[in-house]
Order: sequence, then structure tokens, then C-alpha cells
Amino acid sequence: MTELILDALKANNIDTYLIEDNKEEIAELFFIKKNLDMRRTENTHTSYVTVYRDFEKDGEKFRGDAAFTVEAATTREELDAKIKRAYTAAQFVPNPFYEIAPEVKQDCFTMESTLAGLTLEDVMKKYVEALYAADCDDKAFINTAEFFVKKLTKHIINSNGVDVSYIKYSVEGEFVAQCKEPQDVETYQQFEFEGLDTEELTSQAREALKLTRDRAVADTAPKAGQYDVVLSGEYAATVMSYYRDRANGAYIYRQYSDYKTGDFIQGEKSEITGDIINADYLPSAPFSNEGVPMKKLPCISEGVFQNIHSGCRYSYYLGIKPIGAYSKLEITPGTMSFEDMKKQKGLYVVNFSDFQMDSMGGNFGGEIRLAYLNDGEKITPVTGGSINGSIIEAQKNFKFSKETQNTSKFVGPKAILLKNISVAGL
Amino acid sequence: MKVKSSEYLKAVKPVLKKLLDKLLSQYPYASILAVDSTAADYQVTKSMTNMMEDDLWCSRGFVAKVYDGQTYAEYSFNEISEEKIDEIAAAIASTEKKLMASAGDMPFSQYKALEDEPCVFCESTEYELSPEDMGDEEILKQLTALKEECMAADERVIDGGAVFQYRIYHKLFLSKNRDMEQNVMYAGGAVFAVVKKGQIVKQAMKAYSNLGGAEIMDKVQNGIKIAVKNAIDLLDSEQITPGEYDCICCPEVTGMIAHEAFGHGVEMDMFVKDRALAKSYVGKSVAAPILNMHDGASLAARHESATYFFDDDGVISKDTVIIKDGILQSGISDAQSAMALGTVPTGNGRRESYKRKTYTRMTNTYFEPGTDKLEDMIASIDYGFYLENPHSGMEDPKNWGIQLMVGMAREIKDGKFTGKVFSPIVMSGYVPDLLKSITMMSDEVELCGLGMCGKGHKEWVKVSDGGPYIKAKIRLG
Repeated sequence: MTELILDALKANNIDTYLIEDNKEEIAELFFIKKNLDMRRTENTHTSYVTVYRDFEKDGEKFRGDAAFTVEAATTREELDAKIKRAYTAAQFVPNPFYEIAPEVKQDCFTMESTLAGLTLEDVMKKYVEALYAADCDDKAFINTAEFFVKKLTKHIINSNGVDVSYIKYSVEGEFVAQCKEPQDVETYQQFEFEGLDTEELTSQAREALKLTRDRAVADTAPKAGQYDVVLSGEYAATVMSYYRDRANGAYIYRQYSDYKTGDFIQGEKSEITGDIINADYLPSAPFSNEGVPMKKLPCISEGVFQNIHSGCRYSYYLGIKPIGAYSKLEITPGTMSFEDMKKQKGLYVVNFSDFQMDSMGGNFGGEIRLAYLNDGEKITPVTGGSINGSIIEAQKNFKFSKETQNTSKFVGPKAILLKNISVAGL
Repeated sequence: MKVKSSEYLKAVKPVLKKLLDKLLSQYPYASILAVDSTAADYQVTKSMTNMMEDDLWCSRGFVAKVYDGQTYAEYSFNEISEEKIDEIAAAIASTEKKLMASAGDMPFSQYKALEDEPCVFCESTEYELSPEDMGDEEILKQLTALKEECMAADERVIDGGAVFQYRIYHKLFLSKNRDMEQNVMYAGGAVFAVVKKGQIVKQAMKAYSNLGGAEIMDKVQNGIKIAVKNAIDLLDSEQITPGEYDCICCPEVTGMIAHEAFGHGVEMDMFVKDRALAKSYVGKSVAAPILNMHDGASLAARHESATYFFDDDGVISKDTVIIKDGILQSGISDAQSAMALGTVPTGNGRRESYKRKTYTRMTNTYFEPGTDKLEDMIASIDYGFYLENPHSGMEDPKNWGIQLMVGMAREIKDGKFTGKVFSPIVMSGYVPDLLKSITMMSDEVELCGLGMCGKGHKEWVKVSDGGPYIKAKIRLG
């Protein structure tokens, strides 16, 4: 299909282009309780093509672009029509000129993973066994589960000489844990792995079943007020995604973010009484979807901003070399133990219905499905109510745990302690 | 004008029928859903202009569903020819058996064969102005004009602009007895403003949608003043004191309540999984007696972005009355869930794309209007808030917990706006408490379908929701 696209681009005199070609093989299983309810296979080949068009207007150089999808069933006639339309449309897209990714070559290789070398079905069997190995709690059980085992073959080509290809294996899915007594409750969990981390899944499932049991006995919301809040796992990672988003070139160019390299970005240094941030960018793939090589790079060092991460366009506008746009951060853990965090008076929220971080405004929050309220004397499971905080305030004195977590999206402290957060409750 | 059929699907249909025949020689039931969909997104802001085919909605492919006498399997693919029929049929048979084995000793759900009453069908929705005829240049020109008007509206605007998106999809559903075709076009647009004061950055948006084409752009211009004013008002917003308050919800927030807080709870695949409290409330009071709620994709009910003629199971769409006079009447379902429950499917079986499984999904979800006037509703508030700019919500079918994020709450005191704004707002509480507390509903209904709905955190489908202005007691924090 790539050859067909390259041939069509040439025939239509397109000089500047980007092709992102994806072949996906996916095995899927869907369970209700322990019953297999549906099995699926996906076998597809799709490309995304961006066509660029350079033009001048009033002495200023522009590079317009338009993108389209090419499926395996797209005919040559349709492809020619898509290219012509995109090239025509690109002249009405007056983005200031920028360079696309420079030449780089990489023959197809398989990203290092303990999943490679196994069939998708073999991997599936191991992960199904791993999840249900935990399903032996006497009160809580797995209500539903979905598994997706993926093999992605990606090939990126551009007109500057980018020609790179890699194979990536991954497993993702979700499950719902339920407990019926004394109250019928459930908790929702997602998982994503890039290796044969079946023990990790079993451990996650055991923890989920335990907290679901605890949710079943929680029958009251916390009182409304200000609390020290502990967040762990994906919620800690979500809060810290604020820094990744604010460090993005698109945010900075549009003035949504004031980050400048060399600046202290954690508020006023003199006001910091908690942990200072040290963070690196970690690549999720060897190349960005534009073909920029990606590697571990510093993001924030002792609270000082080091590198803007961005695709080609905004990197050019900001006058920096593109390093790609990263989705994964590694943050240095703190010195406080997770147990010490939980021993303090406050609210440890272990499950939200939906937790969000607004990277533009700095607010984070969500509705509490389960939290443990420590009033200084006892710890009580609570449910209901919500938290609503601002990272602009919280960053002055937040604490990172010394224990760490390592997921496909985040490496860093397992938990964060946030001071004086507003809780809506009774 | 009516949306035309897909030339590609017309050409490939005989090959699909041959593949279907091959599958029917091996399986007691088989069906193929073929999708040919084009979609484009346009965005013009201060810092960029974008025009692209939407890679979520733009697709061409097929999903074959087979039944082996007890269980179902599916195979999604996007390449077919006469020469590949045997290869595809063999791949379907081979992968479904291997996947069955990969489940190890796990038992499996046993099903009957899906109903397959004869149905031959070809329908199309209508539009006034095709985006493809309007052309990319004209669309971008109009969006650029909207962007410039937005940027000029106030010196505090640091970014702003407009978006337009459309989708034209064609679906074929083929089984032993069914040959169904539908051709649908929907479109939507929005304006947004980003404002800054010191370190504080806020944004607001106003969106519009229709079952139709680019004629929606005529409405989008009206949103500029609203988006800019709301964004500026947010700059001075305060954090709300958590509590339970009398609230007036704008139709967009009403829609989010209908969709997120209640609609997800009546998706009957959740009944099959014992994950829905609603299952035990059919026939019981769940809302104030003045409340009536619908969901449905049928053209007779609503002309909105989630209107279609048949769902991805090949079931004809309809309008489902979910709540009548405050009493829960029915849920909504896909074909397999209906079979498991012994009910009649409601035409709500939807896939994100040909690559994904069918789930029970909402379509156009709304409350019926009441008889009140908005000005009377506001005047009736001693102390409370007017809620607008819904952001997002998360379903809780198991416990009917409310988790909605709203962009702003405007303070009302003694029946008048005070000018104070609070943001962001988390709405929480118990759904029936909120619905039973509704005491006033305005006499007009508005729906909007620019957004998407996920099942959990994935499986995105186009939906619309809305209703009248409502007055209710809501916990805010």
C-alpha cells in the first residue's frame, strides 16, 4: 500500500508529504463473569497521509497541509482524488512555514518486549489466566473483563528521507470488580502493558478486589471541608500530567503556558515547602509519528524547566530542534513513605468515577467512589462527594512517595500528598 | 436533497454476498456489516489552521459475525476481493477457533442464533448544503472570519476560533435474509475563546449540530458573543462552597444529566452483567412525575447527529420512552443483550467503527419539555445557581452516582443574577434524588450532538443530548 501511495503522490507532483502506515493485528476476548461472551480478531491496514503545500502571501512564506486516510480497500482513483483535494485544500491553510522531520533511516525492528516471539493467542491465554488467578476472593469477584492483545507494525516515510519502521506489542484491557454484600458496588480498572507483566495484572486485580470489598462497607461521604488528600496510581500520574502538558510546544506557542527553559516553573521557589520536581521525558516508541527519533530527555531539573517537547511545527516556530511530543514522564520519587502518608490525618482516595486534570486552568478533581478517611484516631472507608483542587496552590507543598510505580504512561512516585484540598461531601 | 449511496459499496456488494454465502455454508448464522465513511475536521484558530480527514470517523471496512451454534465470533478486516474470499473465510474460521482455545478452560456464554427476519431496505437522510459541494476553501474562509471576529471581541482573548466537522457514512448490513442500506450525513460546528489575565487562562465554547450538512454554519456565528462572554466571566470565577443548591440547568447541562447520569444506567448490556441498578426499577418511580425521557435514533423522533435507520446489528431504529411521568419504562439494547434478557432489541447496538465490538449505546437522549418559562424559573430561586458549559461526565449504572463536570455556575440570589461566577463545578449525588427534585421545566427543548460518548474510557460513538431548562436540587463542589 505504501508503494501505491508513493506512486500516486509522485504522479500528482506532490513534493512534500508524510505517510504513517499502520498494520494492526489484534486478538480480543470479552468475558461476563467467568464466561467468554465474544471473541474477535482485527486484521487491518490503514495509512494516514499528510500533503504539504508551500506558498507565499504578502512576502510571507506559508506551509499549508491537509491529511487523509487510506484504507486497504481505497482504490487508486480514489487515492488520486484524495491527494488532489488535499493539495488544493492545503493552499487555504496558511500556517507559517516550518520544516518537517529531517532524514533518518531505520529498517523494521521489533521493540524490545517479552511479548515478542509469542503468538497473540499465547499472550492472551497468559493474561486471561493472570487476571482470573486473582478471582478467588470470598466476597468480591471479577464481573466483566476485556482483553486486547496487539501487534502494530508502523512505517513512517516523509519526503525529506524519513524511512523508519518498527513493530510494537502491547496488551491492554479493562475489568470491573464487584462486591455484593453488604452493598452491591463495583470498581472499574484499566490496564496496559508492553511486556509479559502478568504478575502485575494479578496484583492489580487483587488490590481492586480488596478495595471493592472496602467500598461495599463504605456507606457515608466525608464531611465537606478542606483535607490533606493522598492520591496514588493513575490518579497521581494524572495530576503530574499537568507538567507534561504545560511543557508542550503547542501550549507554549499559543501562550496557554508561560514555561521558558531555565525558568523555575513550580510557582515561587521561596514558597516551596514540599518536594521539588525532577522529571524526564520517556519515549513510548522509538520514533514520533512524524519520524523524529525519541529518547529519554530532561524535562524539569530541580524545578527548572529544561526542554520543550513538541512536534515539528511548533518546534520550528519556537526556534528549537524538534524532539517529538511525549506522552510519558518519569518523575523522581520523594523520601516520604506511602505508609507515612496514609498515617496522617486526611483522605486517601483510591477510586474515582472519573478523575480529571485541567492542564489549562490547573484544576483537578472528580467524584469519590472510595476513599479512606483518617481522622487521626481511626480509618473509615467513605464513598461519595468529590474533590476539587488547584495544582497552582498544591505544588507549593506536595510530597512524593519514595515508593514508585511503572506503567506504560508514567514512571514515578506511587503516591502524592496534596495539602488543603476542597472536598464536597455531607 | 438525499444522501447518495456509496459507489464503492455498490461495487463490492456482490463479493460480500459471496463471502457471506461461504460463511453460511460453515455457520448456522453469519452477517457482514460493511462501512464506507468519509469525515473531515476543520479548525481555524489564532495560531493554526487545520484541515484533515477525521481518522476516527473516516473508515472503510467490514466486520463479519459468525455463530457456531452456541457462541459468537467476529472478524474485522478492510481488504476484500473475489480472489481473497477463501482466504478471508479461512482466516475467520482459524482465528475464532484459536481464540476459543486461548480462553483455556473458561466456560462460555451460550446463545441462540440472532433473529433474522427478512428485511430489504435502502434509506437516506437529507441535507440542504453538502460540505463537499461547499468546498474546503469556503469552509475555511467562513471559519477564518469567525476566528477574526472572536479575536477582535475583547483584548483579553489570546486565542479563539471555530471548528466545523461533518461525516457522511454508508452502511450495508447483509445476512441470509437481510439486505439493508443506509446513507447518513451529520455535521456540527463550534466557536471557542481562550482568555488570559495574569497567570489565569480560561476557555469557553458554544457548539451546534444537525442531521444535515454545512447549513449548520449559519447558526455557529451566534455562538461567538456567548463563548467570549463566558470565557471572560470565568476569569473572575471563584471556588464554590460545597453544598446542595437549587439550580437551573441550561439544556446542555440537562442533556448531560439525561445522558450521563441516567442514560448509561439503562443500557441493557449492563442489565445482562448485573451492573445496572435500573434493572430492578423498571415500573418504579425514578423521577418527578413531570419528567419524561426518550432515547432513539429514528428519524420520526429526532433529526440530530445520532439519527440512523438501523443499528450495527441490522435492527431498525426506534424511539424508546425510557421514563414516563417519572416511572422507568424501559432500557435500550443491542441484539445480543436483548436475546440474553428475552426482550425485543431497541436498535441501540452500535460500534465505534467496523474494527470494534457492538455495545448498547445511546443515540439522541433527551427530556421532554415542560410548561414553564425560563424567566419564571430564575425568579423562583432564593439562593442557587444557573449551571452552564458542561464539560464531561462519567456513568455509574451500578449505583446511580452522579459525576458531572460543569464549566460554570452563575450565582442567583432573590431571583436575580448577582454577577458572581463559580468554576469549575463537580456535580455529585444520587441520580433519582436529583430527578425527583425537578420542579420546573421550560417549554422548549434543545439538543446538541457535537460531542462523543465513550463506554468507560473507550468505544467512541456520536450522540446528541438535551432537553429543556430544568430546576432541581443538586450537590455541587
